Amino acid sequence: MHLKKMYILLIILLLLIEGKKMFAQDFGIGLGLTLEHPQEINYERMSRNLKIHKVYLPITVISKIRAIPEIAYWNAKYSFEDDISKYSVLHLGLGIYYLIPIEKTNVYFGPRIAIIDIKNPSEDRPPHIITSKTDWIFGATMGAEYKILKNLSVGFEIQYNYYEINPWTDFGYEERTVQRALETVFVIAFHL
Amino acid sequence: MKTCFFLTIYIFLLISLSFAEKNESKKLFKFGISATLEKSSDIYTDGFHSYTNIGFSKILLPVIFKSLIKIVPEIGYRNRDSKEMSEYTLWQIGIGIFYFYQFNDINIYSGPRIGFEKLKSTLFSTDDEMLTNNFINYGLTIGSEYFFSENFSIGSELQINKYIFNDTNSFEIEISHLSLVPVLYLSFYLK
Repeated sequence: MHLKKMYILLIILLLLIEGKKMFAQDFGIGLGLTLEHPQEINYERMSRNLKIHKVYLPITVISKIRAIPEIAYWNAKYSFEDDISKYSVLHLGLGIYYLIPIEKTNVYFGPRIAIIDIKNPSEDRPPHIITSKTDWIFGATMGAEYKILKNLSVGFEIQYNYYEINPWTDFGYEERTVQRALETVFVIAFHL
Repeated sequence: MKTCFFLTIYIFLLISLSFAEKNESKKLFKFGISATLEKSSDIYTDGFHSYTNIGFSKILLPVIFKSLIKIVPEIGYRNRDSKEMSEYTLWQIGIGIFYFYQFNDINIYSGPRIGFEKLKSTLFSTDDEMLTNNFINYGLTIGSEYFFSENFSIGSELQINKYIFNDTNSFEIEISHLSLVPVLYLSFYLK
């Protein structure tokens, strides 16, 4: 398992270092971190606010098109007397944006999609039963970033997001929640 | 006492800044869009239960007039619909009108701000009754903004806000409190 993670990290590092040589002249790749409001996530059969920071991997495919894959992971274990519950939240997303460069500022806008996979393995249940659920986010984003240094930028995004929050697989809760929200995100990114 | 202390600091800053040398700009209007990052707000998320703390993003649409007055409308929106349980919709609008001092790449501003929040909530188990709650907040703001370039800036402000919550429904709840709210924002301006 550790070897697999190391291998994925190695691939990402190689892509970061070699990306410019491997692809077209306009190609650019980066690594960013977001600062944002706690995300309201329905993970314990109830709504909770989770403070999740996402990692952005901005890829300028051609001069005016940028793809931003995003990833976040969160894991927690709660214990109360003999009752132990564990949760893991994996967020994977992708935004495809049209880029307008204005001097040192880039303005971008476009659609974004993300999937939130939440698992709740329990020691009370047989090991093959893992309660899980998958939520979806569909959104539209407008962003702007300023290159404070040649390789470093600060920016923000204004997102209109539609959340489809689904019920858990084996608890028989049929409650499906839909959420719509205007949200803001700050991004600090390193670009090669 | 605490309010007097902050008011004294505020008046002192206004007086001292009014003697400072200002950097005149020829532009009549400058329009922008900003994203804020601020302390979570205490908001009644369902109107029926408790006073809950949620992270709430606001979008600002600053207009700078003659490098003298900064008008900042703000907007926020959130809707959550749990199909068979409850639904709430929260709208927030506000406006700040600030006197503006420009020193090279930095500006400092100060002035009053008012915000209005409307929460509509329905709990489906109580005969689909819809409740509407209103929040008003108003106060003084002092802020500063640094321009990296003509069209991109970072800023922060400190707001001293008075919050008033009036339950217009049968609960007869009235809450008011005074708090200091720090806000960080990034802005993009059209040239």
